[in-house]
Amino acid sequence: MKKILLSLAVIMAVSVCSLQAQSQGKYGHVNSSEILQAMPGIDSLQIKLAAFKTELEELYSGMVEEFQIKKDKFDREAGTMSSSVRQIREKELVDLQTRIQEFQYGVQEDLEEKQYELAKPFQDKIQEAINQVAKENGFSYIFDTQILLFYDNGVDVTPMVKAKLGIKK
Amino acid sequence: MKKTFIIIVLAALLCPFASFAQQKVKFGHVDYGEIIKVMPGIDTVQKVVADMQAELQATGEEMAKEFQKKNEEYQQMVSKGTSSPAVLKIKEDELTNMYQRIQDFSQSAEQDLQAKQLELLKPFQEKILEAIKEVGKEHNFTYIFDTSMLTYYEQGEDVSAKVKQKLGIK
Repeated sequence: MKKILLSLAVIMAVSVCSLQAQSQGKYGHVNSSEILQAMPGIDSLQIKLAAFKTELEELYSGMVEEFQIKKDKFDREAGTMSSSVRQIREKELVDLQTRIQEFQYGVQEDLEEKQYELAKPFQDKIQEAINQVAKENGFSYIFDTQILLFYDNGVDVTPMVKAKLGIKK
Repeated sequence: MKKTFIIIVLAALLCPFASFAQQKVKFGHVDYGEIIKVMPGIDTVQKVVADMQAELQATGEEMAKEFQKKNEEYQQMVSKGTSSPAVLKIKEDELTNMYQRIQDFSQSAEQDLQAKQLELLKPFQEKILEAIKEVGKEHNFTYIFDTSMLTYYEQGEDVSAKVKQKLGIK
């Protein structure tokens, strides 16, 4: 009888405690953009992106130059052309101009795509580190500070994630 | 009996300790998009942006009209066949330049408009964030979410009313 009462008391005490703990869960937040800035090798992203930009600029000026040369040639020879040849050459110029314009409009998108592509391996590593930190420490949810309107006194897991990624400080 | 008593006392002592080790977290949410819509003075932003848009549009239309006119002149010159190739080329280049200018203008007009809107909205956004921060601190919130970031929320604490009050919105 005594033993039963005793074990009953233990069970009650434990379940009350764990119930309280469960209803609270464990939450934390992380500043992922700060981590991204501090990632080892992130400098190479900016360098590669700048190189890609230069490449696009060279492509663009190459197209413009080609257009200018063709246009000048056309202007010189237009007087001596038959009308059918003239039409073909004219169309060629218009097509080239359209391509240049399309290229110009697409540049921003190309750059964004490239940046995303270059940042992805870093982002993946950060996500993996966050997952590990969360599992090891029993977090239910970790929020990115970028989407929070307010955070105060919560658990900031940024230092733990940084440590996992081998980032000092 | 004595042992049971001791265990219950121990448990009673340890329980708050256990829940203390478990963080106390207080969540709230706010409809940020709704608040910015009812901010005092926000109408002026819409008005300034609309005015700017109208002005840019008028300029763009004027440029297009001028291009149209010059293009017709050029077409007439070509069909008459009395102008020298050199004169025609000058006209052609003029048209090409004008066309490029119109395109550049419409592209930068859009960017200018967006930049202006962002610039005008900034002080309002800052005020709202400041009010949310004050409400958060005063009521000991740990996290406050923007409802637009939440897939589901119900029975959580909506702090919109408190934030509005802080901003003097009725």
